Amino acid sequence: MKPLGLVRKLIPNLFRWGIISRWLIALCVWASSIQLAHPVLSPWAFTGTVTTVVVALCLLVLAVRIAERFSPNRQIWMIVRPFLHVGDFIALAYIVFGVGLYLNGILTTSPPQKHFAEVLTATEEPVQLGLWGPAGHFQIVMQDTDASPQFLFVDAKAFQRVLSGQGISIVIYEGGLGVRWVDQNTILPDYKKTMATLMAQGINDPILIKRTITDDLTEHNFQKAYRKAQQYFKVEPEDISLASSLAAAAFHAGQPALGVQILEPLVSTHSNYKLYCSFGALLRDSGDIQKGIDYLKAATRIDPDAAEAYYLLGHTYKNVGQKDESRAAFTRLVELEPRYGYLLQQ
Amino acid sequence: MISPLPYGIPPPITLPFVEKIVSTLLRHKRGLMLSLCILIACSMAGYYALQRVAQLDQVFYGPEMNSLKALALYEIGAYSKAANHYRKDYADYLQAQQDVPPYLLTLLRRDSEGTTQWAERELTRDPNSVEAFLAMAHVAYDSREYSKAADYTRRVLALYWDHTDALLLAALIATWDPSQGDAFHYLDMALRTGTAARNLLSFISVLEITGQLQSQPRSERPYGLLTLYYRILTIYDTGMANRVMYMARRAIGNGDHQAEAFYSMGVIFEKMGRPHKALDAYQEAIRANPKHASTHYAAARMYKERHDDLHQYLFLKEAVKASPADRFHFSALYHHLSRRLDWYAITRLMQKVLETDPGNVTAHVHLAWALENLGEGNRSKQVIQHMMTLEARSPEELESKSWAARRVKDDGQEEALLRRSILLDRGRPNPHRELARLYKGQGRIAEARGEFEIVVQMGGYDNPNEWLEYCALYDKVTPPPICTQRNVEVSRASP
Repeated sequence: MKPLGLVRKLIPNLFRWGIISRWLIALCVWASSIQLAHPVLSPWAFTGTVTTVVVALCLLVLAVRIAERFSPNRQIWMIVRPFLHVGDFIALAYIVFGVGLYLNGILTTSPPQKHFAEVLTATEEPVQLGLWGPAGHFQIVMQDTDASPQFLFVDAKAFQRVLSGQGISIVIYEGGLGVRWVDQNTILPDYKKTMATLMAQGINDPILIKRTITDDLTEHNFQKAYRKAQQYFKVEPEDISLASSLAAAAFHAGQPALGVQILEPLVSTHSNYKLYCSFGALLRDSGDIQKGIDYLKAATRIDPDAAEAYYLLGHTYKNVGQKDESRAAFTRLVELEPRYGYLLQQ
Repeated sequence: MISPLPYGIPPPITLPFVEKIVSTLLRHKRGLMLSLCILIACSMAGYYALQRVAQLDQVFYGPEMNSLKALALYEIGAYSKAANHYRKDYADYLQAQQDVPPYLLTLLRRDSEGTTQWAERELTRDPNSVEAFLAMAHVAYDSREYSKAADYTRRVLALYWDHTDALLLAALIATWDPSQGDAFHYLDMALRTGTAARNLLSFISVLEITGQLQSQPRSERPYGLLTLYYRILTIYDTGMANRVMYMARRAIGNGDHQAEAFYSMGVIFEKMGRPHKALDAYQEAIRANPKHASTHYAAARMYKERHDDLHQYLFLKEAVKASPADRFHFSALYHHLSRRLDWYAITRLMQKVLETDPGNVTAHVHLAWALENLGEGNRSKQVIQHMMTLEARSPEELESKSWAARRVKDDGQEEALLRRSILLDRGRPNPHRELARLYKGQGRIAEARGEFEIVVQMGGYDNPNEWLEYCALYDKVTPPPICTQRNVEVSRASP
């Protein structure tokens, strides 16, 4: 009977002495830190506020219990006691929630997946619990799921990394209890998603469109780039550098005639050294060697002190067996750029 | 009585002296509480004092810690009186020192006659002396001849468009006489250089004017301007950030230059490591005044730090749109585009800038370089030829013109331009580096070595390839330590 009596008295005594409140604070802080170790995508924006309220409540309960120890037998304690129990109950519920998050995180079995999202807003938490609590939350829209915004609570490091309006990539785990959570170290700004977001917003800036074209060209996606370029050239018809890149890409995509077609109108209106070099090389590679040589020679007349045309000309002559002309072009090239001296020794 | 151990648990071993101490303490409960309160108060005061010491720059302590009275006045908010004490303390100290610029002492003493005599002598020697014009402007400002002072600062700004001291002085003048320009504009330009109030005289002048504006009746206090002057003081005292926020909030509440106030709040939030609050403040500033170019630039900077060059570009573009002829903003966009080798976009941008400001040397040099990279060599040469006829308005522009002179193979002009650049700002290694290269090319070895040594002294070289070619010039002469010392490091580094 005695041990039973001890146990019966233990719980009320633990409450009375304030031990439970101290443990509750520690556990609430732990439960809060779980949000950072295994942050879940939440449909609610108030998780951080809940943490703050619960920890504040625990501190208040502790203060009242310590005051009760110093000055017992007062009427006021009888009145507040039910409220203290409610406070403790809320803290316990929060801790159970934390344990749930912890189990959800550690019981992950399926492999992580990379996703893309747009950050709509980023909000600082009104009260921050140092390293153990979230510094702020992002409101994000995932790219490949429904369009409803979700909230992600993160620590200071991840919170500093991204600004609103940016596109991000994140790695998401399928939690053991079916709640998806994010590895916050993988929250990184993503160029492509940001570009897609800006384009979706209708930002019709020629320089941004040009970047999408060059990105497509880098990824050898010529058809896509060409479609966009046709729109771009309506706004910027004189962008010789992009036209040259596009023509070169057309050649590599097996459409040399299209490459010539892209550059021809520009060549007829612009006396540009680099354009002539590109056009000459394109004609040469398309089989029209003599015309190519003519354009490369024209390029040397436009800028006699530039080396590129002599380099191309030298090689073109060499390939068609005109050794003297080739040597003359390489000699001039070496005069301009001595590092090409090896070409004369071949 | 409260048990020494919690919950009435008896101590396992009874130590008599511990029990005695505890019982004594518990017997004098009031004394114990009082001692605890004093201890806590002293700890808090000590912590505050240590924090303040860490926040304050050395300049506040005065020469050899002689300005503690001035510091005390500063701490209680008597800025003008503190400025007067600093002025006196520093003047007394500098008088006994050697190698002190003569105008600094006379200006600290408000000796207008001495300063004017020095400035006139300096101007006969060099009619474009920036220091002399600035000294004259200070004299006129001290004697409240604002129109005359503004005239001198305008002369400096015509030679050197973003001279921080001149901009700051122009702001001080415009604060008292708004007909002499927009104080906000000048302060914004001075602050964005990151070197505002870096000299003693500017520091004292800002302290003085802050005190004077602060002492105005609350209803008439220009909170907008005070926000910016407090921002300058944060350069020396990081603890001023709270004052800046307070002033900015008051300014916003009063509708006094809200965009500038929001922008200042953003800058402080950014320095405090709160980027989202900073971005919110910048967005508010843009809403208040979409033409506030510095805000767009600040937002661009924040995105750049987060490796988002798309948003960076969009904000830089907005900054240029808000202030098309401002070299600071269009150069920032130029550098952004040139990193991506988008020379075509640069030509379009510079053509637009030149429509607004046809005499802009910086825009010309950017345009010439972009055209050359595009393959438009002849057009580039035309731009360079035209640029040579324009007036440079800063040491950088003089160096740009010297680059243009090199392109047209005019060595004499190149050297003269670099010399003028050095006269305008002696603290920049670039013109010396270019002169060293020019002299080396011309075979003027001794002069090349001289310039090279100046650059080395200024720390103007970043990698060994830049300086090793000059080390070869020291055939029979001992080279500077960088040649021998760094050679050893280079040889160690290479496999």
